[in-house]
Amino acid sequence: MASTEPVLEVRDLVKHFAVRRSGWFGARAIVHAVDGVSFVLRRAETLAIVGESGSGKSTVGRMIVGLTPPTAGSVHLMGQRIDQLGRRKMRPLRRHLQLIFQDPYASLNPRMTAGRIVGEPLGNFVTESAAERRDRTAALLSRVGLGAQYLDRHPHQFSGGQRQRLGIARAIATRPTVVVCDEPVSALDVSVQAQVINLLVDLQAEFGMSYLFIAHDLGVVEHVSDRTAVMYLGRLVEIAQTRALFRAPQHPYTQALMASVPLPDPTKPRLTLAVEGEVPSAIAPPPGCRFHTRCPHAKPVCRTEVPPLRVIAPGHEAACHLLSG
Amino acid sequence: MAARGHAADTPALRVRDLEVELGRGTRRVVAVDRLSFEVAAGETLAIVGESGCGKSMTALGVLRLLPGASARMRATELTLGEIDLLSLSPEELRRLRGDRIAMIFQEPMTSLNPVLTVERQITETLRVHRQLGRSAARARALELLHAVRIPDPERRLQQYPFELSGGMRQRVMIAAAVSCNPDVLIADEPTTALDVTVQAQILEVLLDLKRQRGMALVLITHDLGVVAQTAQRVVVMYAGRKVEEARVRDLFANPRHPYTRGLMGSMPRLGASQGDGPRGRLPEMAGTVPVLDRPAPGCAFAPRCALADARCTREAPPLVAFEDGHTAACWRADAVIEAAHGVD
Ligand SMILES: Nc1ncnc2c1ncn2[C@@H]1O[C@H](COP(=O)(O)OP(=O)(O)O)[C@@H](O)[C@H]1O
Ligand SMILES: Nc1ncnc2c1ncn2[C@@H]1O[C@H](COP(=O)(O)OP(=O)(O)O)[C@@H](O)[C@H]1O
Ligand code: SF4
Ligand SMILES: [Mg+2]
Ligand SMILES: [Mg+2]
Repeated sequence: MASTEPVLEVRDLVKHFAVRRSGWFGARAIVHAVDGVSFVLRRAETLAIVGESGSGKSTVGRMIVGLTPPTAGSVHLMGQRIDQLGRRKMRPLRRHLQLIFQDPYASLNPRMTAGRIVGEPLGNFVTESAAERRDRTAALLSRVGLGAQYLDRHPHQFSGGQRQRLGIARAIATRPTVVVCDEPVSALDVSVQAQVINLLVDLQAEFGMSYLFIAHDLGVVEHVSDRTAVMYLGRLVEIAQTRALFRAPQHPYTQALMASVPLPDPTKPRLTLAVEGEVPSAIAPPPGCRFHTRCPHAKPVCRTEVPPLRVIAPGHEAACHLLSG
Repeated sequence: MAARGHAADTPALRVRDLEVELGRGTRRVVAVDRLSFEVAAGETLAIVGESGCGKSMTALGVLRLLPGASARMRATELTLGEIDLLSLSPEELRRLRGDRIAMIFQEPMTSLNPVLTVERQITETLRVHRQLGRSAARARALELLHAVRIPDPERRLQQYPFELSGGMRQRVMIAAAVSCNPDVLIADEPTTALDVTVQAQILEVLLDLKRQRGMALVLITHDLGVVAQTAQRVVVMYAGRKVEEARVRDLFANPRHPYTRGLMGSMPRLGASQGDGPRGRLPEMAGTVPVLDRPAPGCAFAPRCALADARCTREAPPLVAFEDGHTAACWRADAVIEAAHGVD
């Protein structure tokens, strides 16, 4: 069960990427990938970040684990600011913060055996004999449903689901406090997806880790998370207890997102167009509320003023001018 | 060529015992195994299953567009309206594709030509099949872009695929595919790469076009939500075979194959958190979709099936017809229903 103790906090995170536009003169442009995102992740909690592609979910995850330096803002792990720690100072904290990727293949060294892939992260923190390490590694692999026969195999000899299990084994090897899971089941077929979701849920119950669970599938998010944050074009537009958010989404974007999901129930027809158009470019995000170009309820103020994230009910925040009391 | 339009009881597309084999010798894979289905004008048939079940090979087999020289297809019947596709020469087939039967793919980038403008992508088909002049073809292309609801169609005509978002590319692909008013459109995971709000838009465009033109639509997907919201009938594939077929509402009300039931159970559903009690584990099917290079004698699903008995591993179950055209290939299809009601 989640406690209220924060283990991870991000404050006003911003990431702007400088890019060159394609075309005649390759003019410089700024991608507003993440613009002022703040939230707290509590001990043993799963906080989901959901949103369409390009909304900045992965960039938030990458800034947290130190793969992308923030343009502004800060990241705090167990009370300590970590975004400006150098590699060396980060080392003792590193084991508390792990990452699981969508495509484990890209993140696993193809020349290493499963045993080394899983054994290595903790090897950096403890001293142990070769036999001890092998036992520990075999136990880890077996915990994620991979038998000892997999110890000496290479990533390409695994199926997609098995590779994700391997990625999970590596992430939990150090008994981390926080695991950032970036679309961990998005590439998997539904039957394998269910297996991996169950594994993640079981491991959390066993080890008390906190998950920052990034995904675009609303069904998955509703199933795994305690709280859910919704992102649109680099901004957090709504955050609440998962149950409350899915019962009564408040932000027009959250409502549109939910209304767009085709339900596996032919007696509930709902292919009604929830929202027109596509997500605009992050190079020139719309002024005011970034959703105003697609929002069915937009008023003049939406085009000029950025709606701040406001508490609209206990534990429920949303950023929309319609909701300012 | 046979005249357009046909007797009311002739399906737009009829496929009997389609087989697709890939590779040879020890690498031989039976990707599609004696698959039969038909789809009527104005109807949407969904083909659903996890990856590797043979959905794409079914589509390519029907169009006789199989990859590489080592791919072989066979069928006892393959008819498009009154036209026997099996007896056509490669040249005759080529003339038919894009004209009477068309296909769209998951990633339009692979089927759009990167160096042609949107206008050329669409008019190419028209000029080949309809011998339209340049300005007539252009007018028709504009009309089609309106039909797939592309904003600002005049400007889009001059753009290249890389300048378009995934959703816009898929619209262009659809416009090109329906440009000659095909009788049958096969759409292979047309929205799998798209965000959910754009998926809803594209599905609506497809269904509208189908309604307006009376096309038969074969919609291939892995998403049971898409099936429920778009199709009238559905074929569930597993390991290259049809394991169940039914009217969509019958399939969801009363799934008869354990694989279908497993798929429905393992899918996390929107709204599930609103029930009472703690969040449970998802019902799991153990194991994974089999690789098809070592076909076992029994039911391909047996190793993952909770209901499997000795006969299941020995003998492949035939497709058995139940009420209202509901068929399932499972020795224990009745036990599936009983088990479900026992739990409910
Ligand atoms: N390294 C980068 N350089 C330039 N733009 C980037 C880079 N990484 C991400 N972006 C852009 O930042 C935005 C957010 O991307 P991302 O965080 O990957 O979104 P999500 O994970 O929600 O799909 C997108 O517009 C994306 O194109
Ligand atoms: N080019 C190919 N060569 C050999 N085997 C292939 C090829 N493409 C697909 N297959 C095999 O054919 C089977 C069916 O594949 P496919 O029709 O693509 O499945 P689906 O579309 O349902 O995901 C799979 O087992 C796959 O491994
Ligand atoms: S602020 Fe305005 S534009 Fe933005 S979601 Fe609310 S109503 Fe729509
Ligand atoms: Mg991402
Ligand atoms: Mg496919």
